[in-house]
Amino acid sequence: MIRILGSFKVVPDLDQISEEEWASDPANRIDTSYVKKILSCYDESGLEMMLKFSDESGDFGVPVQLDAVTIGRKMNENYLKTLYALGFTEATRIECEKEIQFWPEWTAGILSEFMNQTERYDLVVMGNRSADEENGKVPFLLAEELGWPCISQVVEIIPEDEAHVKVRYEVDNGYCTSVVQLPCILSIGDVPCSFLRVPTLKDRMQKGKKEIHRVKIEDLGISETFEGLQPDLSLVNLEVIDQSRPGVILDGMNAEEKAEKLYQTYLKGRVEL
Amino acid sequence: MALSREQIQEELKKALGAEQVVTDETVLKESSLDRYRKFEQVHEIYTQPIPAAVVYVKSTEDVKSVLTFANANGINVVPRTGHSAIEGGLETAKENSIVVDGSTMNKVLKIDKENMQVTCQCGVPLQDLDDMLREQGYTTGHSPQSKPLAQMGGLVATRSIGQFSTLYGGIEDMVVGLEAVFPNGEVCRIKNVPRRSVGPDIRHIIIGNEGALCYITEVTVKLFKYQPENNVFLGYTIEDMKKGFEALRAVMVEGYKPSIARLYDGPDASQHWDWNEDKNVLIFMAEGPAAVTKATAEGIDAVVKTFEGVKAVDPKLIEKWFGGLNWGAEQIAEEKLEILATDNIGITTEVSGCWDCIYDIYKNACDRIMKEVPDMTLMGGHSSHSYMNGTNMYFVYYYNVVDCTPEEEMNKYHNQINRIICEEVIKYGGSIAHHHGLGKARAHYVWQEYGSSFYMLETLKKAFDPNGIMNMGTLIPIKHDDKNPWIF
Ligand SMILES: Cc1cc2nc3c(=O)[nH]c(=O)nc-3n(C[C@H](O)[C@H](O)[C@H](O)COP(=O)(O)OP(=O)(O)OC[C@H]3O[C@@H](n4cnc5c(N)ncnc54)[C@H](O)[C@@H]3O)c2cc1C
Repeated sequence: MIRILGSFKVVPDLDQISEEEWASDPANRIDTSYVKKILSCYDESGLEMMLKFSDESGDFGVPVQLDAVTIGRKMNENYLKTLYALGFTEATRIECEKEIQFWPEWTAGILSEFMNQTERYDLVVMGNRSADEENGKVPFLLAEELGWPCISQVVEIIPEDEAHVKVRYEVDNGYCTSVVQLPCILSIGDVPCSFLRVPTLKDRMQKGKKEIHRVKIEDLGISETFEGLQPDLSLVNLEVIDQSRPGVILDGMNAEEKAEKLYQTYLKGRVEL
Repeated sequence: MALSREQIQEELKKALGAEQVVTDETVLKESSLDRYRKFEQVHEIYTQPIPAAVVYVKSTEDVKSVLTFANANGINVVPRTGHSAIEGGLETAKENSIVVDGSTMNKVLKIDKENMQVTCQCGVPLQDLDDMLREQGYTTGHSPQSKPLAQMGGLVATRSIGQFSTLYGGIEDMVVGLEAVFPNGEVCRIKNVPRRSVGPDIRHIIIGNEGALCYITEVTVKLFKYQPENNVFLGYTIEDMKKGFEALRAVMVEGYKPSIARLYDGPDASQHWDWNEDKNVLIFMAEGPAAVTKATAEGIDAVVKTFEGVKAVDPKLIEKWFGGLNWGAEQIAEEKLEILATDNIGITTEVSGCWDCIYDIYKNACDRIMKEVPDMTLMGGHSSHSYMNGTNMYFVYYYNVVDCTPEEEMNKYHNQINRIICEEVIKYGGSIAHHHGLGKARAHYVWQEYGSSFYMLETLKKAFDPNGIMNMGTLIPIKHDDKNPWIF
C-alpha cells in the first residue's frame, strides 16, 4: 500500500478583484478578505494528480490510500469534504484562524510535526508554491526537516511498484521522467489545464459527510501565539513590473484586411530593404 | 429549384462584395450553433447543418438586399450580432443558411442628452456604449451579465434583461424607437416618442422577435443619470428559501424600488461566496439620488429584518463581489478549458412565475432533477428580477458528462433538465423563458407556453415571414415529435 498525503492551501481568488481595484492601489496591498477563496492552483493540480494516480494504480496492482491536510480556517473544511466525496480516506484541518503569509518555515515546521505524529506516509504531494505569496520554499524545507528527497516541477505521477513511483517533471528545456524511490516529496509545477474533478451530489451525500480530523497547532508542540517564533521576513511593499509595450490596434473588417494593413504599414518597407 | 451552396455564395458576393462574405470552413462551423450546445461547442463537434456563408452587413441597405435575396430563394437567414445567445437562437437549422452578422453596424448615431435617449446601430456593443455614456455621467441602465459580449440588436431581439432591472426594467422598458428590415425588404422605422396611444404598441413585434420576424438595424434607448457614488448595498443570509421569496415579495409590495433584488439558494450562493455557510443569501442595491438611495436602503432593511432567520452581512461583501460578476471572452475561454479537463459542465435556465407559485416551481424542479437526472454535481438557483406580481427563477445546474459522446450529451442531460423545468413551470402557469428567449430548444414548448394566444404568434409569423425564411425553428419548431419533444 502506498499512502499519499496531499497538502493544500486555500487562497483568495485574485481573479475576482477588479482591474480598477488593483490600479487604485499601486503597492498592491489589496484587502482580499472580501474575495471568495479557492484552492491554490498548484495544490489543485497535485490533488487531481493523486486521484489519477489512484485511478491507474489498480492496473499496476498497487493499492493506494489518499489523505489530505490543510492548515487554515474552518471555511477550508468545504474542500476537505469535497476530497472525501472524491474518495480520499483521511482529511485533516490543522486549525489556524490567522492568515499566515510569507512564512514558509512555519508552514513546513507544522507539516513536519503533523507527519511525525501521524502514520507513516510514503509520498507527500504539494504545490511548488502558493498562488497568493509565491515563496516556493515549503516543499524543500519540509523535505529537509524529514530528510526526504524532493522532486520539483512535477507534472505527472505514474504508478511503478509499491516502493517506487515514476515521476515526470519539467527541466530547463523539456521534461524528464525518473523512477523515484519512496518516501519522497513531489512539488507540483505548472500543469496547464488541470482542475480538480467534481464529485456528484450523491457522492457528497454518501461520502462527503465523513468526520474531518481537527488538530490544534499547540498539540503539535507549536505555540498557537507563535511566541518566540517570528518570520525572517515581513512584507513591506509589492511592485508590478511594467511589461506593457507601446502598441497599435489595427482596425479592419476582417483578418485579411488587418493583415494587409499590417503588411502595408509596418512590414512592406522592411521586406523591400 | 433551390440554389446550391456555391450559387448562394456567389450571389452574396455579387450583392455585397467578396470582402463582406465569409465562407471559411471554421467560421461557418462555429456559426452553426450557440451556447445551448455548449458541450458540443467546446469539443468542436458540429451536429447542425453548416451555413453557406456569414455575411457582414454595413448598412440597412445591405440587410435589405440579403433578406430580399433569401426571401426570393427560400434560404434560411439567421440574424446575429454579439454571438452570446444561449438558447439555440443562432443554430442554423437548415442546410445552406445565411448568417447575417450586424456586428459591423457599430456606430453610435446620436446621444441626445436633452431628450435623454441614445440611438445606435444594431452592432454597437453594450459595454462600449455604456462605458462611453458613463464617462459623460449617463447610463443605459442595462447591464446583463453578458454586457462585455452582447450587442444592441441581439439584446433587443431576445427581450434581454440586466442586473439592475428592478429599477430600470427590462430592455422592453428602455427601447423608445427602432428600425427593422422585414424579409420582403420593407424597412420600418418606429419614431422616438415618450408614449403613444395610436393602436397596438408595434415596438413589441420587433422587441423579442429573436430574428424570426425581422432584422433589427437601429435601436433608440433611454438614458439615465449615472450616479454610482450614491449606491447602497445590503446583504443578508436567510435560513429558509420560502421565507426568502416572501421577503422579496414584501420589498416589492411595500413599494420599494431597489435596482438589484436577488435571492440565492444555498448551493448557488456557495459558488459565489464562502461566508454564507451554505445558507440562502438575499442582496439588494439602491441606486439613484442620494436621498432616495438612503431611504430605499433603510426601508428595505426594515422590511427584510422582520423575517425569521435573517442575518445581515457586511454590505462590502456584496459590493466587492458585484464588481466581478460580468462575463467576457476571457471567462468563456477559461470555462472551455475547465469543461474539457473535467467533463463537468454548468448550464442555466431562467423562468418566471407569480408569487403564489414560484417557490413550488423552484422546489419541484430541483427535486425532480435530482431524482431523474444522473451525475448532477450542483443543483440550485437564484431569483434576480422581481416585479409587483412575481419574480424570476434562474436555475443553475452542473453535471458530469459520463459515458457518452459530445453528440449524445444533449439528449442524455441538458434536454432532460430543461424538459423537467418546463414541465414544472407550465404546470404552475409560469413562463418557461424569462429573458434568454425561447430559442430553438424551448420552442418545443411554445404551444403550452402560449395556450390560446399561440394563434397571434403564428399569425404574426405568417404575415411578416410568409416564406418562413427568418431563423427557422426559432420560436416555432420546424420539426416536432409530440411523443418525445425533447429528443432532437
Ligand atoms: C455568460 C452569459 C451571460 C448572460 N447573461 C445574460 C443576462 O444577464 N441577461 C440576459 O438577458 N441575457 C443574458 N445572456 C444571454 C445573451 O447574452 C442575450 O440573449 C443577449 O441579448 C444576446 O445578444 P447578442 O448581441 O449576443 O445576440 P446574438 O447571440 O447574436 O443573437 C441572439 C438572438 O437574437 C437574434 N438577433 C441577433 N441580432 C439580431 C438582429 N439585429 N435582428 C434580429 N434578430 C437578431 C439572433 O438570431 C438570436 O436569436 C447571457 C449570455 C451569456 C453567454
